[in-house]
Amino acid sequence: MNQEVELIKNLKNPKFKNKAFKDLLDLYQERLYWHIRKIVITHDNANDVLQNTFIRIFNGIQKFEEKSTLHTWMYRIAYNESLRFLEKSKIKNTVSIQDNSLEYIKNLTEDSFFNGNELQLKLNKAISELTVKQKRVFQMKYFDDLSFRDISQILNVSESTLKSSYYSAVKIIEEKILMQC
Amino acid sequence: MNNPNKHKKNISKLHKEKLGMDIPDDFFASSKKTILNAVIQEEKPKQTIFWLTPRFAYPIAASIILAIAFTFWIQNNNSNKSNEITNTKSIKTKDSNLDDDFLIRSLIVSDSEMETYLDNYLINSIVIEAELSEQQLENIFINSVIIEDSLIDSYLDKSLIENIVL
Repeated sequence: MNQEVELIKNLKNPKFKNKAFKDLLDLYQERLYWHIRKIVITHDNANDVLQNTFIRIFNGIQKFEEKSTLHTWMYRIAYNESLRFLEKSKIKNTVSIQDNSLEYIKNLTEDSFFNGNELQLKLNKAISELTVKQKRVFQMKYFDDLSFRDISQILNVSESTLKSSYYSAVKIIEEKILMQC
Repeated sequence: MNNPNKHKKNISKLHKEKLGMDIPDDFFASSKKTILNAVIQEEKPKQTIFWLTPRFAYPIAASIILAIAFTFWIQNNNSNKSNEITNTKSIKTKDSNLDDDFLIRSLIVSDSEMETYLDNYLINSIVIEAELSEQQLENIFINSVIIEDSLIDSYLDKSLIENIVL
């Protein structure tokens, strides 16, 4: 916690801002990348969104009121930036990967940085068939290792709702994978 | 707070193993450079031309606005004066096309001026034109009479000579 307090203090100080931002990148770049990648699917898109996310973080750090933790605030920026990207691509393609399972799988398999085997593809397919809320909570809990409290702040949904969504998502995924085997 | 470093070491491996998602080699190092460059470029103070700095720019902008406003005011003042039409003579001298659209113009001319103008117009145009056309008709009639007379004369002359000769 002290580390985060110190980091925020330095990020808000113009004298130490650049150095603190480098430290912030070292700490969170990879985590935020994977958080974004699971939403926008392809590597190239995730790379673009990641850059925009960090630029927003850098420009908006002075406005960070510390009502939530720094990493929750950054995850929320990454999440909103990803959704903004999906909205833009939805306008372009008319079909959203967010609510269309086939489009999700198509985007995934066409990405040159996807080399999953049959089982991995099955897991991806099972995840793609979840509702948007189930999908997000499952991904954030299982892959990003975030607490329900953090997810609740990022998605602005109550913890109890998130818990029930998560457990039903796990159940659905298990059933679908077993069914496909 | 979760310790980011604890999870960080395994996060790329976890995504590769479970979801089959991969990343290019040294992606995070190159991405870090790109982000830092983008951020530094955004932070660089914008270079401005010295006369575009607020110290010079505002007085210049104010002067331009005043100059434009003054020009408009002068133009407006002149056009107001020129719009003060007092009689039908000035109407005619100011606009030669007034005859064509005098009805439209009449909307901005007072009734008394319009009456004067119409009187003049009737006298100058309609009466004179009527007279001219009457005169033209007379001319045509006289000419035709003269022609007919001369034709009859020549015919009579010819026929008389023929009769006499024959």
